[in-house]
Amino acid sequence: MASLLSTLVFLGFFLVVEQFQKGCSDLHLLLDRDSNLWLAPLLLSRWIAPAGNNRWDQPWPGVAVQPELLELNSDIHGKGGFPDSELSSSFEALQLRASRTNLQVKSGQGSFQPVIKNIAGLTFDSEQMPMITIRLEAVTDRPPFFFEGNLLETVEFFVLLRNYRPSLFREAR
Amino acid sequence: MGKEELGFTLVEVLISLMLLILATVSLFQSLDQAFRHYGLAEGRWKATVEVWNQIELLRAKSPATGEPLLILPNSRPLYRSVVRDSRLVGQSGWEILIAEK
Repeated sequence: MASLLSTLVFLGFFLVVEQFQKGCSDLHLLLDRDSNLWLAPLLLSRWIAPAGNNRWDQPWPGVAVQPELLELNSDIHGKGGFPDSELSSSFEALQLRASRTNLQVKSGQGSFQPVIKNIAGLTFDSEQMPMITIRLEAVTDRPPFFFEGNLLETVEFFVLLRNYRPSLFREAR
Repeated sequence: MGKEELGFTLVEVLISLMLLILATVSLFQSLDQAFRHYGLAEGRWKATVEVWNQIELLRAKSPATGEPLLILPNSRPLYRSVVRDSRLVGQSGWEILIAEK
């Protein structure tokens, strides 16, 4: 009787540990997905805001919106902290897209590099310009044990380009 | 070595069974608590995004809406609005000041 019970106790112990480990793993997957998803809006709005402040006669479009690609050009670095009329510094000419469950960014003439993982979809909508609607879709790295699918989570948020105008006039001197 | 000294006694096994049950219950309770906190954090984050969107819509509105505030005489007024969400417990609301375009 005792040896049968002790076998059951051992079996029970391993079963409990396995289930607990699966639960922890699922929680980790969810937190991992969400920490990436929560970071993306902050990062995107940080990049989009300077591109929304366009100037008269700038030779590039500040913001060019395509359904799955966003181009941001902002002259934010120059001598003495002033614009230098070039987009040669890092993060001045950016392209954003989602590919292979990564949010990818291309800076200047470089190639697309993954910045945030778990991002399955990224779409941009400029119908309500000067407001850009950004829709992000995030998935977990792998299917969790206790839930079905990849737990797709979607977030939609707006970024207002308050000072962005299609045509500007030269400032009075 | 006598036959009775081999293996565990029934009392030992019952005690370990009790301990296992206690450990199981506490482990799963802590996991449940972790999922609850995760749910709360997720709800708060969703509420924050909704509040963010409301603020952007308010900022985009023309003419500006809200309670007018005249900071300096003969200056353009600022319009004050407060956005609240019941899910953001402990926050009195987000105050937005919008200048006329």
